[in-house]
Amino acid sequence: MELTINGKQYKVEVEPQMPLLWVLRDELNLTGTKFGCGIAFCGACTVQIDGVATRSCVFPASAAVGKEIKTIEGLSHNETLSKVQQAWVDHQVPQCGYCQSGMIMAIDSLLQTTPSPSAEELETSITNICRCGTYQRVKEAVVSIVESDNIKE
Amino acid sequence: MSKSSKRGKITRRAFIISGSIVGGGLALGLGGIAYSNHKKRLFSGLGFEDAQALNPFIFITSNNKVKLAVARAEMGQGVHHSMAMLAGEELDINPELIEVIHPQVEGPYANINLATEYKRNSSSDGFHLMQKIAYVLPYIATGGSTSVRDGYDHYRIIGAQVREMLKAAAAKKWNTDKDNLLAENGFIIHPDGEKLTYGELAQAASEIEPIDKPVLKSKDEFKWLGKDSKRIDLRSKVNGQAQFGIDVRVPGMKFGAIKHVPIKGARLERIVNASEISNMPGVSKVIQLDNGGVVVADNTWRAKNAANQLKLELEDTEFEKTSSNDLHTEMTGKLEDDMQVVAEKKGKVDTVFKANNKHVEATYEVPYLAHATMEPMNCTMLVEEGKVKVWVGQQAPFLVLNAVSKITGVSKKNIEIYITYLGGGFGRRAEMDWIQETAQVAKEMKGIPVQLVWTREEDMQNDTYRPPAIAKMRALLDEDNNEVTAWEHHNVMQSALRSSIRRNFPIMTPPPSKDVNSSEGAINLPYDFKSSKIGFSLIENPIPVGFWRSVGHSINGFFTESFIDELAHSANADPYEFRRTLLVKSPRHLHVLNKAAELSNWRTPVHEHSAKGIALHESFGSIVAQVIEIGVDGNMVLLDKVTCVIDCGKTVNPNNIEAQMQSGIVYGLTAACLGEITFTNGKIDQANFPTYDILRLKHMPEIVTHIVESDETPGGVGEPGTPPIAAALCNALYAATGQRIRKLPLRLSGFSFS
Repeated sequence: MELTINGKQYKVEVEPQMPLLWVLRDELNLTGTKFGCGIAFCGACTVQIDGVATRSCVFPASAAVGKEIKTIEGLSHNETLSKVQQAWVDHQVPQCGYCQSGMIMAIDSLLQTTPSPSAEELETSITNICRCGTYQRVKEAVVSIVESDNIKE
Repeated sequence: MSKSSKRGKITRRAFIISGSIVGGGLALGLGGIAYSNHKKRLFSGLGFEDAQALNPFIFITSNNKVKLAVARAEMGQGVHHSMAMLAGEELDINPELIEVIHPQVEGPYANINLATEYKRNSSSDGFHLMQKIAYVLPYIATGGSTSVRDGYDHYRIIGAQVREMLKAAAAKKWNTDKDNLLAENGFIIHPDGEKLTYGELAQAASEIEPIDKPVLKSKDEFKWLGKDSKRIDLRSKVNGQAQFGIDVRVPGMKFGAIKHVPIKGARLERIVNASEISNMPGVSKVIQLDNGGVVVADNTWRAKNAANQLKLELEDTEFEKTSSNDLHTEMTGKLEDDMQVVAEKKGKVDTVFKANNKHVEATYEVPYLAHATMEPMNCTMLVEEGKVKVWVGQQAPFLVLNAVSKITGVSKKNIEIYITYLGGGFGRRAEMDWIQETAQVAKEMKGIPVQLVWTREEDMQNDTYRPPAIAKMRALLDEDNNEVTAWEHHNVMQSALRSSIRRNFPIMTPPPSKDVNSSEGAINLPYDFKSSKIGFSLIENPIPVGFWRSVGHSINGFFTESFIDELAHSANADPYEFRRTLLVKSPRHLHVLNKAAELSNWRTPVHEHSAKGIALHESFGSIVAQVIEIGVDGNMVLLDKVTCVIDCGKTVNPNNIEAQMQSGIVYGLTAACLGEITFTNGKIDQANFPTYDILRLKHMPEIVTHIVESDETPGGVGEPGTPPIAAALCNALYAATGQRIRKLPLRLSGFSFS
């Protein structure tokens, strides 16, 4: 099957039901997307499919054919970090960092559809688990993005 | 300095540094005293081939890049950056420009503070003996919140040493006295303004004999230490480039998955359907281990699907008739017995209790807990003829070296261990069970690199859990309710220390009397009790237990700080004021407590259905007080705000201390509210996050952290945030509802959280 990932075409020969997560990690060596629970519960494997935050550990690769898959590796442009990534560094959000690829992809997707989320919108739509407990800084970083966007507008 | 140490010429363990490696006579016996006694010592420099070694820690490339060897596991606590700050400060280079690499398992990098942790206060020879042993082993491990405590002087000295070597090399070049020169931001500067980069001087500096006691900067000269600094590892952690163990990719590698025996302590007799499974697509091999079956395949998904279908036949075991209820009965039964080990005794407690029957008494209980690191256990290994390569995120690589050598039969000097970033550690990765499994698999797959990855279910059901504990607490107040005349605390629990050491280093297994972890946080309390008796009794069972963030403190912090609160209420005293009166001999603790009360507006009443709870606990050299403010609506608890004050002595990176306080609090809150591991008929009941849930963004209280300005010896920060929070929360719940919760998690009492 052919997959479009971060704007590039990839050809893989795998079973159609193989979850996208393992195609990314084991077949294509795109290891930025993480394995956490395998049942779409923790969010560590979050990627975007046509812009929608999707938990790739249960998403069959074949269902992504013909769609735009974006992973953490495709979020920054060359050496320039994306807005969310930069806010994550500015606010020193990650600790161990393992869940942050998924966290960032989920936040990035939320901000595309809801550029100025309320606290409640943020808390109900972001259900990713972080064992290091970086949640407070996640909130602070998102607030800073929203505020700086509002200033620009 | 070895003359052959040019690019490409360094061979494994052939890297000789002459002279003392690090300064002799270091303060507090930190890193290197034993080492400096050796005239020559080998270390490999493996991984630093493109740079000039100035000592075993600091390497500088010709284009002025400073690389620092830090043999401590970066598991989120920011240790790599903290060490870069310490060395960078003295070397005078921005720590954000330093590259940190985890070196091989070699003597110079031993963690003396951790090795001697419980011998530090003894005047016996134990300390010096353990120190020597630590270098020989070499005792390289990350735990007990010791990294900065071990490295605070040590990494500054090695930085200052190199600074002086660079200045001496420049002085030679310019034919001047080195004291005329200045080291600043990566340059040695001549009074005339001429400059040379550290990189330009590195080769010449490596020929200079290091001085043992370089002058260190004074506090007012610090450019980076004690100020907020941005961690060097975070850029790679936001763009997917950071390499965790699970991300290791080696050409030609295969992927393995394991299905463990479900009954604890059971042995695998045979795999019933091994040949059927080995014919599944992509499967290269089915391997039987003592404790489970492994499938090696061409990707993780195929491996885990196949492993999931393995049919395991177990040997019979007694434990399959045992469940959590049985354990509870056994533990409760022991509560009334005499303490097996009395860890602290002051005065005649028994007599005092006998003379007065008005004592306060309570029984507390905490369950098994899983670590549930976000990155499940995994290891990558390549076994070849006479050599082995290991890639793993692990907290005690010297144990890995031993274990891999034993299993593969390859001598330790031919084993290379590459420690990656850890996707969470919390003590789980101080073990090596999954590495031993990988070694057995890689040995069977000789010549082919194999990555063994546990599924979440395997990870949760095969953890080395935080031990369960039940405590009986008794205390007596004097007639004026001002003094605690007697305090008794008896824990019945499993021993994390004995369980862990028995698995990992059997000959060192301590007797129960030397189990320091079961009483830590219960003894040496800052409160002025007139008499006390504190101890524990151990139970044994096949469920493996181990070190879980803050270890005994996570248990005893909850017990002692809840019970102190009960005493306060029984004395009709304000819980904060009550603690104050008991802290007359502990001014540092009192200050931390006062600050937490002040910043949380303790005395300001909160609105209806809200309440505050306070707790104070010292662990790992740091004192932490927390005040939590909650709202209660029926059974719904709103975690509103936590005020956290820490006195951790001299600070390295305040921003990181704040992060660690937040982290420790959230970890402790998840445990207090939700965390419980149980077992039925020898099998762990929980298998994945839905049954072992974790607090999320929506549950989070606002956390405000205050760091006390202090010049005391540095304390730890990775763990001390965890112990007080469960007690603070239950104390707040009592204030709000009048209900005293003595058994965790709170969800068992019907509470839910938002």
